[in-house]
Amino acid sequence: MNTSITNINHNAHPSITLQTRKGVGSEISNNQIDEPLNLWDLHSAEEIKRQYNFAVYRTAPCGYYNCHGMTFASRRTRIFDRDDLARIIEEDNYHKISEDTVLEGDVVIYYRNGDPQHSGIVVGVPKINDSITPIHIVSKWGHGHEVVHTLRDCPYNQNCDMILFYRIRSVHHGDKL
Amino acid sequence: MNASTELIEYVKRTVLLANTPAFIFNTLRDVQDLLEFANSNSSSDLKNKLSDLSQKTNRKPEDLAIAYLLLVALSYKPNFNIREIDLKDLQWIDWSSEIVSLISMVNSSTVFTDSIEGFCQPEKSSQQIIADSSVTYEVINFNKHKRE
Repeated sequence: MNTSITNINHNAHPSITLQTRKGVGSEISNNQIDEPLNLWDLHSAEEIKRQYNFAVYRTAPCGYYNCHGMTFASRRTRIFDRDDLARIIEEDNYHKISEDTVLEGDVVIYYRNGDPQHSGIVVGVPKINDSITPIHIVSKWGHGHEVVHTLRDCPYNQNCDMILFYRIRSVHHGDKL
Repeated sequence: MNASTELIEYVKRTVLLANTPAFIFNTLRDVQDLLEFANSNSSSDLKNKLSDLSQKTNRKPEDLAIAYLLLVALSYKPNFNIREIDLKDLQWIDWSSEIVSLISMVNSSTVFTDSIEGFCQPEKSSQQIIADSSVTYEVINFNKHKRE
């Protein structure tokens, strides 16, 4: 087992300028843990990988972006404040959609007691008349891997009380295709 | 002050998977072993251990997991004012200020429900209730008392 020393001032983590579509005045708090994971964490990440062995692991673990940073900030940073996420949903004009109308590219958020504990992007939906294939999501699991998984096969499903899907809507043209 | 290896491993896994501070807090509060750990240690034991870790110069990865364990355990001590801990000492713990806020909310609501419990059980003195709640966290069924 690793015996390496860690003595990190987590408040010293760097952040980037991040805003919603509204621009100046809509800053979103964020930060990055831009350092390698210790061996203990890598070991935990491997155990999680073994537990969820139907998922596809796309990237090695890293701490500088989390699921919300992947979904809403192009994999650049960590977003973790529920009010900031609510602000992104509102100001970027995301709208709730029902599970049966989900398309690739839509966003999914797993909530627990109002906390958006996980998010991801839909990458696969069942074809018409296919009631067997589940919805597939790409998401980042904390400081761990970026993973392609089915909607329910992830560590955030078991304790969540609500899963909501969102699609961005054109500010000027609504849902007209 | 003994947390099992399994519990520490679970904390590490939870911290690794966490996308939000509330995920750490909520997930760890689901764990029965953590509740038992909290009940087997006084708030001053927990606070002192946290303080020792914060003053350590060469911390190990395990220490971070133990720090989260101690913080969440303190959320089961409704009579402990978490604001007694200087946030500057916890800067080494990622999301410590957010977790302290969550503890503060839970502790204040628990003290409130403890008071309601007191009104519903007149045979227990308020001093006795405070003494009980300082050593053992009780999940109070608020609805049950409302029906009565």
